[in-house]
Amino acid sequence: MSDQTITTSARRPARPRREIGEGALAALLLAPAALIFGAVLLYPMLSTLWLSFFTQKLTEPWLGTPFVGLKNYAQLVQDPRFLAALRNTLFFGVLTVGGSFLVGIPMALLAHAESRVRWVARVAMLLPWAMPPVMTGLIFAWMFNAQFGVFNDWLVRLGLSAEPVRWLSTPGLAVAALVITIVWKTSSFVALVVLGGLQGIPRELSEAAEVDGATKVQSFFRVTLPLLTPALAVAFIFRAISAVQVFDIPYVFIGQAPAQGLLETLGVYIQKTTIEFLDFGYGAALSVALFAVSLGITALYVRFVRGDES
Amino acid sequence: MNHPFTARRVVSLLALTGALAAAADAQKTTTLSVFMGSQQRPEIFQPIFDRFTKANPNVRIRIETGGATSELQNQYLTTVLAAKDPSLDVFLIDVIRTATFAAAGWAEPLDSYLPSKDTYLKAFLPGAVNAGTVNGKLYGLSAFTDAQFLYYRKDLLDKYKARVPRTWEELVQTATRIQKAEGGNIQGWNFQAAPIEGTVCNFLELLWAGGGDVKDVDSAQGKQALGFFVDAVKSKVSPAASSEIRTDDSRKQFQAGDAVFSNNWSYAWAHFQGNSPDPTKVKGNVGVAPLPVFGKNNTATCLGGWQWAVNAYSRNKAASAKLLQFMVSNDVQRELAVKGAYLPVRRSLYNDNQVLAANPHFKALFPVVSNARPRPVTPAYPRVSEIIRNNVSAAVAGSKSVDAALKDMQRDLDQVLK
Amino acid sequence: MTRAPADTRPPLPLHERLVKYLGLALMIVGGLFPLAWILLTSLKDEGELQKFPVQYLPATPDWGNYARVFSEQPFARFFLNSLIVSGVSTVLCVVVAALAAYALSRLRVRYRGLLTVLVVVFSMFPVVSLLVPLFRIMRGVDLLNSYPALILPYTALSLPVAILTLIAFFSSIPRDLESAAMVDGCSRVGALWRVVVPLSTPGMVTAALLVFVNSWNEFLLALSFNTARDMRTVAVGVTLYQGEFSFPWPLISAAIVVGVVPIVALIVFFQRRFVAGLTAGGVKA
Repeated sequence: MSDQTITTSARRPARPRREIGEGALAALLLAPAALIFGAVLLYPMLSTLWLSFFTQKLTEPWLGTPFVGLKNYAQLVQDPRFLAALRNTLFFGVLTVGGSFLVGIPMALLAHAESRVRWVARVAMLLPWAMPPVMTGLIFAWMFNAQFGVFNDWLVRLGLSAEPVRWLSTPGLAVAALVITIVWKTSSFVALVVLGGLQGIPRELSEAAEVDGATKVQSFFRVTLPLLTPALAVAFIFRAISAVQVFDIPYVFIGQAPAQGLLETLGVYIQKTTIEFLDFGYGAALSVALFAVSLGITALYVRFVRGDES
Repeated sequence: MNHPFTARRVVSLLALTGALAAAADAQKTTTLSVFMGSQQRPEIFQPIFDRFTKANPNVRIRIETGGATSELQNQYLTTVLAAKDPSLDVFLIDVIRTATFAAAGWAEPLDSYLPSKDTYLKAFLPGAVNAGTVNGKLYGLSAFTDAQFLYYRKDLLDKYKARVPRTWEELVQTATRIQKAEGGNIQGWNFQAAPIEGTVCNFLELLWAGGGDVKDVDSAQGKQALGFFVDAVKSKVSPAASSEIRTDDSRKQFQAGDAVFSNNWSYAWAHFQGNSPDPTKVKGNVGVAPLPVFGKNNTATCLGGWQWAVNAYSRNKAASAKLLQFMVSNDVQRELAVKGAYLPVRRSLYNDNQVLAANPHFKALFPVVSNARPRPVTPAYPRVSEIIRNNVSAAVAGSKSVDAALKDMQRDLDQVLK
Repeated sequence: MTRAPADTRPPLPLHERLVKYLGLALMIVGGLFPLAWILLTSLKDEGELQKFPVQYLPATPDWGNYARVFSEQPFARFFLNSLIVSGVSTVLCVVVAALAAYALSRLRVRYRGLLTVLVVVFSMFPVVSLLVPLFRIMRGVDLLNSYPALILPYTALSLPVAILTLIAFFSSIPRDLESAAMVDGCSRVGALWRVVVPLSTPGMVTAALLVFVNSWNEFLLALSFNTARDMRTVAVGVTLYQGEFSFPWPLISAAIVVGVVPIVALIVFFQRRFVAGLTAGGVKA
């Protein structure tokens, strides 16, 4: 993300009196974060990158662990399963990130508004996100169950379907079920960040706009939304990155019914390649590819934001 | 930014407390760290481990329990063993993983720890030994064995004067007849086609029961097997949701009195007899038989069960191997059978009075268990399994034709089973 | 502090109230239904789950599942472990993130944009591929089966989102306030603690909730690093009730409900802090 999205006011003039230099202070303040990143994540990330240039297939130990340069990456572009997983990931990413904003922003507005049930609304807003992801997948799979699922019960009771629907083993419906589950789970994150942003906006601003004759909707788009931009930006970038990595819920759904590979995301493919197929070299390359996708999205986003501002 | 090694030094400072605690633990006795799934019942295994430590006072046993499913345990063991961690000594793994663990160099060959291996292993069920053997070396000793059986409703068969079906065609006929006469929603035959191991077994069993082989699935036998499942669903002998039914769903529905026949593992028996969190409506009315066949072929069932193996990175291999031999000894196998209804790996125990008193049905299971066939023993088994289960499930769901599913299966299996 | 009290605002017109309450109803039902479903499931017996049409209410509520949650596994211990791990991770992460966010949003830093992107980069690798090298680190420093084995990675994994959230909040606080405080004799750090931190309470609360819930729910690392029975966390604990084949929904539902309680408590508690933050955020720019 660029500094333009973050700073809103101009630089101040130099500070007087006995202070350490700003650069030194900044370095000091950044040091703990750098230390934690360096200690915990840097080595695993670099070692994954390093491993992606090797063949390490524990199921074929006679291969050893030779350096193979870019061979794993060459394999990537010819691997139909990788390409399908990439396509699925992007497809689910667009739908679930979009969906979580469409659901999350209204949720935040409702949870922000004064009402007698506000605290209930806030609990309802946040609970989906507080559920353990694996369990969320299992709970929804159970609610979508073909024999005893509560969603089928509604369909049949309302007369929308004579027979229970096989949600999970009908590929198209399985995709819909997965999108619904992920949107349910992730809208909370968007709502939480947006709600936090809303708290920071003085109410007088939108009220003033309304006094000036703007409707509620107009004042939302003209006043509130622009002020929410930083919060929305943060929500977007992390939703996008986590959507690219999405793993738990598709993994659970695939365990219920594979839907002919339509549900397999990159995260799932990496898990299978590494943990089940024990192909660590290729798994590392897949992880780097996923990393590259995230990086690409971030780069696009930064360009978009910059372009927007200039 | 930071160098990794400075970062490591900081982390090691933070580790001081941990290290101190570990130092206090270091004693002269050997502590064996044993990993098993949380579903392997501690109330049965703990007293057995206690007996071992009593007989070997310089050995202690620490149990680590991991996730309950085969997948979760594998997730953990893969992490630990890929990091070549010596802290685990003994682990209990699903029988399908032995070949992978052997290839990866994670399981220690046990041959040199068994003085006269061949005589020693003679007393065991051959399938259980084969499943632990990779390229002539023994990597695992079965903790207990398992197989899939045909469970049937004795009361319903008696009522309609039907005999236990010997062939799959007969099963369908009998099931249809009883379904029609009973009315309601009773399922004729209940099997699993969700993407799970049980589904792989179901398919292999019908493939074998027609004389087929996993190397050649796009064949007449393959069509016969997969077509049989698909037709069973189409003709409503089996539930419409079969493609989503898992092992325990089958068990529950049979237990609730909703099915005439059902394919399942040995664990279902105890549930049907009332040792279960769910009420049983079939107690005393359940029979168990070998799976039917096609034509005049031999009955075939999948070998299941779990195996003890020794971590190749362990520092206590000799003591670990000793523990393994203790776990498969006659006494322990008998105790597991009597108290936990685990199928023993020693043949003689199927004639043992105590075992049969606790599990009268074991006598009928013996011929089935002793002929159980292992699933393909290959390090690439996880891929094999995925290919079979996904295609079978899709065909039963009706989202792939039988021909297309078999074709895809053959194409993908050819790459893995070269 | 000039926020107008709620009751002085004119009441909403009818159609707006309708939309609002309809939305609220939808949100409350949609958000809470799956949990309500789990709550009902935790009171049923297994036979009652195998019914179609679905049986919504248990014939006789079976509270025994809650007792079994604690008797079959040391769930209270799992709970304590999760509280310690998530609590410490949250405090550590929010403090470290606040410092970094302040530097990145308020101070003149060279390559600020690049540094910010770099922060985000640390959230771009899937955890499953970091698992084995992280395990090696933790074993190398002998941290397996300890709280730091989870606290350190949880802090690190949540730092990016916490830093960026706080940057967004800090940048919405008017600089003039800070300058005023500094003119009044505060040092820059003093201004940070006395002006910026209190004003960004909603941001801190948001970040804290994010970190806490991320840590509370983390599964893969907890499964692999802390394997001793009394070092397990709740996220792993709820999976320990299933068998090789069996998935006892009533029992697991009860465990899920128990595991979610602290998060609900936290949300209820923090939603008041949100209100407090509202007053602070309402300072006229």
